Formats: sequence, structure tokens, C-alpha cells
Amino acid sequence: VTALDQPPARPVPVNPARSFPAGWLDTTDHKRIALLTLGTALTLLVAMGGLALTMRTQLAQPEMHILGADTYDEFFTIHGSGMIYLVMTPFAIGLGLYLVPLQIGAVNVAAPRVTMLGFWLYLAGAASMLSGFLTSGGAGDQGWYSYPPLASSRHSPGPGVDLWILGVTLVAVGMLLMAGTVLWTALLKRAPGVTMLRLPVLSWSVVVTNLMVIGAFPSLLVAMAILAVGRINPAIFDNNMWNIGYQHVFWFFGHPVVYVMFFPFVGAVVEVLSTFARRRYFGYKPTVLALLVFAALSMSVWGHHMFTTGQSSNDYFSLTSILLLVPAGVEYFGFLATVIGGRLVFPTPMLFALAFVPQFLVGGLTGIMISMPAVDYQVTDSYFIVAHWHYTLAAGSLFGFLAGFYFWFPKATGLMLREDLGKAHFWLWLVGTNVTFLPMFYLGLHGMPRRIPTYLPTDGFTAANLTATVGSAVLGLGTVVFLTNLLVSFCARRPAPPDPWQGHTLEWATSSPPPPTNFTPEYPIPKVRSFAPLLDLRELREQHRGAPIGPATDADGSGP
Amino acid sequence: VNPRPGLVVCGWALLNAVLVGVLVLFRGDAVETGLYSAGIAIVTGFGLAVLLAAARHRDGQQMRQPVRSSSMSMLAAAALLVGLGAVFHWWIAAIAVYPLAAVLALHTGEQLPRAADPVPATTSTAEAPIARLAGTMPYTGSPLGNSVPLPDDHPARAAPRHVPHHSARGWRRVFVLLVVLRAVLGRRRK
Repeated sequence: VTALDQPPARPVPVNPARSFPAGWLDTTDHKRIALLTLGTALTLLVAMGGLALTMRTQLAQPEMHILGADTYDEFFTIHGSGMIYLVMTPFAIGLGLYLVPLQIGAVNVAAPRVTMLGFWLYLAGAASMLSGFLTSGGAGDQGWYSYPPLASSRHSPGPGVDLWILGVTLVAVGMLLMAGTVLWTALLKRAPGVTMLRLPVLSWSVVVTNLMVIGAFPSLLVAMAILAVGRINPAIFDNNMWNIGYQHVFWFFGHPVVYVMFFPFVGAVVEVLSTFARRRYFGYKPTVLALLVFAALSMSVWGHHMFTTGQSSNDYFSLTSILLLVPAGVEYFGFLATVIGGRLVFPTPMLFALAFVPQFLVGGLTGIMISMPAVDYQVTDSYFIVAHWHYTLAAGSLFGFLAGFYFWFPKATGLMLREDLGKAHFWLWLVGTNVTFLPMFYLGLHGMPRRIPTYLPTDGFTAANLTATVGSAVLGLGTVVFLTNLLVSFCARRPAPPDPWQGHTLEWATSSPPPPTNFTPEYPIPKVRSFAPLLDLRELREQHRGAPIGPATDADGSGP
Repeated sequence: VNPRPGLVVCGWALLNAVLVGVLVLFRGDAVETGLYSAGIAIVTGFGLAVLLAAARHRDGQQMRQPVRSSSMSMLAAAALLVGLGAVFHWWIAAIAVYPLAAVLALHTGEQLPRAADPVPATTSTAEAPIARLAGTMPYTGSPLGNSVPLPDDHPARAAPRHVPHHSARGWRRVFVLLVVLRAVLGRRRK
């Protein structure tokens, strides 16, 4: 049977632009699924920030009792769990879901219905986890890593922990599905001409992120299964093998997830830095290799969370943790070499990206400090860990996310955000983040344990805690400015051009927002010859200044 | 050299296998090596699936897409109900039968009919029939905002716009000055 023998194809619109709610809630468009995911995560970020502000208010002065001890436990559990499972991980995976098909010139994500199932499971998981607050026993109060035997039904009775386990399980399955489809898309659904070594750095960062998700997230499901069995029969945790076994299984997920919440934002920062330095990203291939090595090493360091148990191979895990410095150094070298000598401009995304670089460095280097068992024994379970963790995820990843948010917001919505409000948001967050989290290093080194609901005036923690609380208030104010910016930008619309920043990658070659199938004859895929195809075209035009070059629409990789 | 996607995944799994080997050298216990090996096995399985798909030419643009996904919300609701049944009481799980029935009813209707040509979608303007069809399928933008056509000066069409030039030469001078200063001071100390 030849093509001529087949009946003529009937044109059927794919992902037609239908309005809310039907057009969104039963969508198969990767952009809408990603925006639903990112929007849900953003809403939850504000809620989790509210929990954090309440806890910081309690700690502003010694012996304050705004929250009871049990409620405080619930707040830090849901704040930690929420930020990791419901906010930062969905931010990371949602960002990849939105951008990867656009950057590789794909029509859509592979298996969009499966991807949408991932979103619904995420939403169901979030509802389940938070619904614990509505039960008589309160929400889960056993900490975000939920160690047994504390998490068993003997020590934590009531449905709060059960709902937490259910929520984490649903979210983990949802994220696995989303990551799997995005990875499949990046590997197999690229447009002609987009080879693996022409993928933009962000797409590579999403590829390695999703490899880690595929390798590590099933372990979280096993951990939740162990906990579920322990909820039914708490006697299993009388045997220490299960307690330590749980820790291994949990942290085999728990450490890679830190990098899941980090790599896509490294990719975002790379795109932002190179765009606003007006030059090609320095060291593309070493960076790609560094990402792959970084991701592999990050799978091999989980035991450093268990140094103090005496049940992990401390030498090995310390060695692999310290080795992380090498690929991280390659990435940092790329950041700096791109920026130095560039023709820099400083819109809001660039400010967030530039702040990400030193702030994440603080988080990373303190991580190397505590990857040495001798140091870890001293500061484990202290505020030093809290400070390290928040420099990694808030001062680092969240700033990277916001760099990407301000950068791609015009592309995703067709609207420009207000620059003045964006800059106010940046400065408030820059000050607030450092004033909040820097004193926590001091508190930790002076012996303040994490997760305590209050302290005594004689402990010597008052001044640093008050400073941290003032910083958190500044963060809260910055968040209000951010939300105001969103509101103003949606109410008084300023349409975004397709390429407001002179971007380097394929998403800037289509309209803002992109059409349902990303690229159409009206918005064609330009020729792809490197990881920065639009920059190639600009350079080509510079070389042929005065001689007009026709629209570069062939995507098969052939020359003009 | 352009690595094949399946080999990228399998190569990454191999890199992890090397790290497991180092763990064995460091006398890692059975739980540690077993756990790590299991993770690698999953990634390897994924890599083999990618290789297999590529070998069967399942790569490239996927033009045929489902048009709706309502059944997936029902499937997630069923999963949530089963979970809530485990937490509270098993009768809640029984309610999951209804959304599961809805999944079966909705699933097939969501797929694009056979012999349908999905538009507007293209990987190249060389696809003339689709280019003609595009005129009949105007895109009005999503409710978040209206799409704006590519301007004439976009690199995909014409010469680039003027690039504001904020030189970093000043910073470079400071850096060079610092390096020279350090060298001079270092020589003096000697």
C-alpha cells in the first residue's frame, strides 16, 4: 500500500485553544499541564511560606507560645514536606515540562495524558497531605523524612501521618510519570537537526534531573511502603534493621532529590546569564559532561545523611560527597567565564541569576563541610544544617527558579511583568534571604538544635533568632511585592513580543504564548546548528550585514 | 560525535555502576550496594527501552496526539479514593469503581481519530500541505494573553535589533589591576 492509496487525511486541530476550565482541566498540551503544575506549586509556596513565617514569629523571642509544641511539629513537618514534595520538585519538573518540548522543537510532550495523570496525582497528593490539618489528631508531625519508629502508629497515632504517607506516595508517582514522559520526549521526540549535542543546557539539565528521578524516586515509594507496613504493624520497627533500612531507602531518594530541585535551575541560570551577557555560554560540552557526572555522583552520596548512625560506609560517602566539588566547579567556571567579558544588561531575571551564583555557593560549600564526618558529628541536627539547607534550596534553587520565572513569564503568558516591582522583589528577597538564613549558621554552631518550638532566655539564641525573624518578615514583604507584580501584570496587560530578551534557544522563535502545537508554518522552527540556534542566526546576519538572508526555516540541519 | 540517546542513558547507568564498584571496594554493606544496584537497574531498563524504541523508529516528531485527558482526572480520583480507603475505611475504596468506570468510558474517545491530520503542527515549512491548512486555522492565543507575530527584525526573519552595549571593560580593568597589584606586592615580600 503506497501513500497514494491511502484516503486523504482529515485536518483535525490538536490542542485547540479552549478557555478555562475545560480547556485547561482536560488539556493534553504540555504547556498547560506545566502551567497548572507551576501554578499549583506557586500557590503552595505561599502557603508553606505562611507556615514558616508563623514558626519564625514564635522563635523571635524566647519562651513564646503562639503555637503549641505539637502544632509546631505539624508546622515544620508540613513546611518541610510541602517545600520539597509539593513546591520545589514540581517547580523543577514543571519547568522542564514547559520548556523542553519547545527547546527541542517538539509538537508536544510524549504521552500527554500520562503527563496529565501526573499532575492530577500531584494535586491529589497535595490535598491529602494538607488535609491532615482537618483531622482531630492534626497533620503529620514526624518531620519531612519521617523516620521510624517515630512515624509508626505506636508513636504517632492518628490519621495525619497516614494521610502524609498517602500524599507523598501520590506525589511521587505523579512526579515519576511527568519526569518519565519529559525524558522520553527529550531523548526521542526532537525535531530534525536537534541532536543530543545541540540540546540547550537547560534541556540537558532536565535530562539529567529526570534520569535521577527515574533512578531514585522508586526508592521513595519503597520507603513509603515500609512506613505503611509499620503503620499497620509497628512491631517491625522493634527490629533496628528496619529503622536503618528505612533510612537507607529514604535517603537513596532523599539526596538525589536535592539535585532534582537544583539542576533545572542551574539550566535556567545558564540561559539567563548567557542571554543577558549577550554571548554564547562558555564551556557547553564540559558543562554537559559535568551535569552527567554531577548527577551520577549525587546518586552515590546518600549515606552522608547517616554518618551519626554508624551504619553507613562513612569513608565512601564522604569521598563521593567531596568529589561533587569537581563538576560543581566546572559549572561555576562556565557561569563566570560567560559573564566576564560579556555585554551585561541587568533586568530582573539577570539579577536573580547573578544572586544565585554566590548564594548557592554558600549552600554548596557548607554542604562539603558537613560531608566530612568529623564536622557532621558536631553540627548534625543543629541550626547549621537548617542554614545550609536553606542556602541550598531557598537562596540557591528558589533564586534560580525566580530567574527562570521572570525570564520565561513573557513567553508563557504573552504578558510582560513590571520591571520596577520585579527589582523591588529581588532586593527585598536578597536582603531577606541572607538576614534570615545567615544567623542560623551562628545558631547552629552555638548549639541550637533544629525543630525546637522555643528556647530559654539564658540560651544565648535571642539576638540571632530575632534577626532571622526580621529577615523572614522582609521575605514576606518581598513575596507581597511579587504577588502584586503578578496581579498588576495580569490586570493592566502589556503584551510581550515573541523574543523580548533576544534569547538564544528555540522557544524564542515562536509566538508569546506559543501556539498549541508550539511551531506552525506561521511560527516555524529556525535552522538548528548548535545549542543556541537563534544566536547562530544573529551571528550569521552580522557576518552578512547588508546582504539579506531569507527566513531560516529548514530544520533539517542543512546549510543555508 | 553525537551520542545516541539510549547510549546516554546507559552510559550514565554505567557511570553509576563504576561508583557501585568503588562502594564495594570500600566494603559497603549489602543494603547499600543492593539499593544502589536496584536504582541502576531501573535506569538501565529505561535506557534499553529508549534504544529499542529508536531501533524500531519510534523516535522523531509525534504528530498524532490525544485531544482530551478527562479520563486521567478520573484515574487520579480513583487512586486517591483507594488510598483514603486504606487510611480510613475500605468502603471508601469501593467508591473508586465509579471513576474507574468513567475512565473506561472516556479513554477511547480522547484519541485522535484514525486518518486524521493533526494541525496546525509542523517541523518545517517545507510541509506545504500543512502550510496551506494553517490559513484556515488562525491561532487566537491562550486566555492568558494574545500571541504576537514574530516581528520583521527577529533573527528567524531578518537582521537583529540594536543590542545595548553595557561594557564589562571596567570590571576587566579592575580585575587586571588587582592581579598586577598582587604580583607587585608578592615580589616586594620576597
